Formats: sequence, structure tokens, C-alpha cells
Amino acid sequence: MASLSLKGIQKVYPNGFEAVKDFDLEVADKEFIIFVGPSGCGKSTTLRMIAGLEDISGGTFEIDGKVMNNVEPKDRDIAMVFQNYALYPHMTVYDNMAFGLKLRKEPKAEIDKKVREAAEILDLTKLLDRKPKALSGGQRQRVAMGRAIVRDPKVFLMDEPLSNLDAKLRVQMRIEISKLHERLGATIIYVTHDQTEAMTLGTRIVVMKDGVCQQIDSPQSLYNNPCNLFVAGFIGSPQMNFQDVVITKEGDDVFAQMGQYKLKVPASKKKALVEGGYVGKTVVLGIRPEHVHDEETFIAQSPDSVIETTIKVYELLGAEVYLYFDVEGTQMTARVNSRTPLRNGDHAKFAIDMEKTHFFDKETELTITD
Amino acid sequence: MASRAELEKQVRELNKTTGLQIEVTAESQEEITFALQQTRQLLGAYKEKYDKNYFLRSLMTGKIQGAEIDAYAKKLHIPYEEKRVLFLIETKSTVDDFMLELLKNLFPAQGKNYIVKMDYHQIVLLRPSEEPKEHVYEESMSIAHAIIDTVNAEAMSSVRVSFGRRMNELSDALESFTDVQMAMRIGNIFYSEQLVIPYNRLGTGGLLYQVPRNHCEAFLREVFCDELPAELDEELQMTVKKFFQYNLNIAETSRQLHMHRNTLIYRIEQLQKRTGLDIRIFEDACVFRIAMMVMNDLKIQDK
Repeated sequence: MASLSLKGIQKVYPNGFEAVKDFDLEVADKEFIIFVGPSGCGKSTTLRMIAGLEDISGGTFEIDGKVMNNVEPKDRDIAMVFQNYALYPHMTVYDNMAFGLKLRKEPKAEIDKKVREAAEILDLTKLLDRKPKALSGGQRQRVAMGRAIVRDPKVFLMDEPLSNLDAKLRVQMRIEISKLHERLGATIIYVTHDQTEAMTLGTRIVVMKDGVCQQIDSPQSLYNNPCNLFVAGFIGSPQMNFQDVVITKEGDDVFAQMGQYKLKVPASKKKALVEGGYVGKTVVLGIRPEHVHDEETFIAQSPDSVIETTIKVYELLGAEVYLYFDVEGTQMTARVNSRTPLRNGDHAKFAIDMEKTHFFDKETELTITD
Repeated sequence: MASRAELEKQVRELNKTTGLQIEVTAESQEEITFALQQTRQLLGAYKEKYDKNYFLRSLMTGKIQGAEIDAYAKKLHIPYEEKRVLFLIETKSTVDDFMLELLKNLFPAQGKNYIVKMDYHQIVLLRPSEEPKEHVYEESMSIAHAIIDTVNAEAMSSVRVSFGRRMNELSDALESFTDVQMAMRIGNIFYSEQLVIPYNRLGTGGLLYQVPRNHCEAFLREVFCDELPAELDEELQMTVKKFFQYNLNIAETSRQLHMHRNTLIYRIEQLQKRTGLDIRIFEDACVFRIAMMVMNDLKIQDK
């Protein structure tokens, strides 16, 4: 398989539109890298530049140390799977997978071997004689994957391959892709706008916005240590709660003043706020919904971070409950145990786990305390 | 050396293909050779004239018109009155057999699809469309994306697709082909980041494309007071684009650009000094946005 290197990659279209800016990434052999971000953030354009389907306007792209900027797509030894895959309607699954190889005039025996191996990996052996019409959505998607696998490429590029599937099938295919990565031991770059897909599949995630790479990290690190407000809000569902707070200092103690609430900042976060010169300034406090607690024991142990409110929406999801409420005019969410007695309209007390808070600069939106 | 048997075979094929009863008399070897040559040429010319690809290409380029269309279509068993959408597929590299085979198999002839190679970079797909009127656009978009994704993945070639309005009959193909070609040109100028360019979604670009060059130049002279900037510096362009993207909102734009609001205001004022346009005002912002599009159009035309 292969390692990839992208240095200062840029994409500017002839009409002046700058889709990707100064993008740097090193992909190790057998890594599963995810590009994630909202629509129009440049993730697909970056993937298409790697594939050679878009010209690179600036920077250097290498596979295994060889510069690929001007190498034709078919000579890059990559295979792609896209969202809008289409199967040849009058061909069997076998022929659908073999078609590209036949057109490339590969020997029949070689084609047969590759198709059967790919079918085995994708659990399609029993379906090889079927036509696309007789396949389910998930099976069709696997055939599309099979067309890529038979080419035995160095790198797989996948652009939202599951987006056309329904939610249940998507979860199932997600597991299949994960298994596939293990079985093939391949380098995979996978584009998605779905942060759940990103978190569950990738060994590393590249978060993009407006053509700029925001953060590259493991799923866990992205979740726990987002580098800015955008990453903090984009990764995690329900998304992180944000509140404007004013940082104040009384003696040795530092507080985050959120309207009428004075939340005591823990020692671990205090230094960065004081040394960063944020005392007396407004910053953004971020707290994930699972770190807003309704349990009485937690509230009793955290008297310096208690807020009071009225529940607006109670959403039961089986094992857990999402509670929506307003604090100082801003909506917040708490993710609590389904045994919670709280319901719509109830007066409620919550305690914020201040050790889990994040603070962001209001102007630059960069993290202060992580 | 040509044989009599060969000539008879050739004449039988000619009669079968044309539906005519042609008799050929040739006695000497010289006459047989000459007759064989003539019948071959006749058969070749007839096949070309009555070839579906040849017919559709001629139809789309206006070489066949009026009542002739119906007659040819009947002869070639192409339904005349059928709702169809015309897709123009433009390739960056030269159209090769791989790509044609791929498209022919993706849209088989049994489904009344027609794939026609127009030149070295363009292929047309004529595809039946029976969807209710309100779903035609979505259906066409989805087909266009399927073409792009499949050609990208299988042929490893970069393509763009434009498509026209739904045609009611075959004779609409000329107009539809003209439309999609124009859409492709407009897309190349104004929407170069888009891979699919629908004819009926050309927006401001479609309008500006129709404006004659001298009017465009006069407009730019008016906007930039005879000091046409060859190119606005990259940083300023990016600032202005973001400012438009965030609906002329200073606070949001400065936040998105990680820039102090005073820096942003300074840049906007610099632009105002150069052009006299204060893009914080909606009307000036409109003029400047159009001027940027016109400048880009002229730049691409000059290239």
C-alpha cells in the first residue's frame, strides 16, 4: 500500500473561486483518514486533486515519495468509490465488477481471480449471477466497492459512498467498510459530511471549513480537545453548548460569569485564562451535553457550577434523554440518564462539570484552555 | 482479384440494406472490379447516412431539418414523439473507446438511450424521461452526477455535464444541443467549480454572458473610473468574497476570517478609495459583484 504527502495544496478555479487553501497532510501507509466538514468546505475537491481529477493549483502532492501533481489519474494507482455510483443495468454482478478490467484488456484468468477474490471479501459470491435490479441498496453499494477492489490499488478514495443509503443501511455499511479496511490493510481516504461516520471510521480525522484545514487529530482528541469553536461545534451530537461568559478574578479564584451565574473555574483551566489576559473579558464557554448533570449527588458536590432553569423539551432516546432548556437566553442541552424524573415544564437544577469545560477566544474563536 | 461471387454478395447486402432492387451487370474482370468498388462505396455512403450516430449528430448540428427528421427517424426506428433530456458530457482528456463503451453500457440502447460522440471532447446522451414535469430537474441532476461519478471512478477521467430542458420531440434536439453547449460555456466562465451545469439554472452568469463585450468593457470603465485593475490582489478578493458570503455582515466576516473588525473595515475603505464603491451598501455591493463577474468573463475570453 502507500503513504501520501500533501504540502501547501491549493485549488483556485479559473473564475477565482478558492476551494482549498494551503492544505498540509501526511498520510501513513494503511491509515484510514477522514475528511469531514460542511458542504462546500473543500473536502471533495481535495480528494479529487489526490485522484488527479482536478488540477492542483499550488503545492506538492506525493505518493510514496513520488510527485504526482502532473501524473494522469489512471497512472496514480488509486481507486475511487463515489456517492452516485451507477451499476451497468444489463450486466450481472460478476460482469459489473469485471467490466473495467475487461476494457483495460487484462487477461481473462486474472480478471476471474480478482473478481472472485473481491466477491469473497465483500460477501458477494452467491450474488455474482444476479443483475443490479435484483440487489438491495447495500448489496449494490458493495458491488460498487468491488469494482474498486478488483483494481488492487495502492490507495482507496471514497467520497460520501454511503450518502444515498437509508440510515439503518448506513450503519451496517459503516461496519462493513471498517472490516474492509482491516481485511485489505489499505490506505483509505474517506470524505463525509457526517460526523458520526467520521468518528466511527477514521484513525485520524481532518476537519475542514471554507477550504481551510481546521484540525487533524484522532477522533478522541478531536472530541476532547477541539482547537477552535468550529471544531467544537461540529464534532459531537448533540453539539457542544456555548455560552458567552465574562472572566473575573477574586483573590486566587477565577470565575466565569454567565449572567446571574458565577461558575468557579477549576485550577486546571485558571492559568491559561489569567496568563492569556482574559480577566475582565468576554470569552465563549463550551460544555458538552453529557457534562451537564442533573443527578443530585453531582449537584451537591458542585455548588459553584449550578444553574437553574425550566425544561422546554424532553426527548427520550431509549437509554438516554436529551433535555433542552434556556440559560441566560441561550438554548442548552443536557444528555442525561433515561431514569431522570425531569419532564417538559419542570423547574430543574443542573451542575456543569467545570473540569470538562472549554474556553474559546471570542474574536479568534481559538481554544484558550486546551 | 475481385470475384463474381464477391460482387454478388456485395449486391445482395446493398439490396438488403437499402430495400431497393439493384441489378449489376459485369462481364470482364475489369468490370467486376469496378462494380465491386462502386457497390462498396454506395453501401458505405448509405450506411453512414442511415447510421443512428450520424443522423443524431446531423440533427443536433442542424444539418437535417424539417420533414426529413421524421423520415430518417422512422427509417432508423427512433421514436419521433418521445420526451427526452439531452446531456452534454465534456471531457478534459480526449474521448476514448473506454469512455464510450462505459457510457453505452451504463445507458444501454435497449432503454432507448442514445450515446453520440460529437467531437474529441464531447459526448451527448439522449435519454428518455417519463418523470412528472416537477421531478425532471431532480432526475436529470441525479443522472448527471451518476455519469460524473461513474466516469471518474471507472475511466479515471474528469468530466463535466450540462443538461437541457426536457424535449417533447426529436426535432427539439437542435435547440437543446445549442442550449447545453451554451450552458457548458457559461459554466466554464462563471461556475468553473461546478461539475454539473443545468441549462435552466444559469443565474446571473447566464444573463451576463449575453451582454456584448463592448458593453461589458464600458461597464467596467464606468465602475473603475477608467483605471481597470488588471487583477485585485488575492487578499482583497478573498475579503470581499467572504463579506458577500456573510451578507455584508462586518462582525461575522471578521470572525470567519479571524481578522479584527477594524482591519476588515480598513480593507473595505481601501477598496472604496480605488473604486468609489462602498460595498457595505447593498447597491454598491451588487455593482461590485457584477463587475467582478464581468472581469472574470473577459479574462477567460481573452485567454
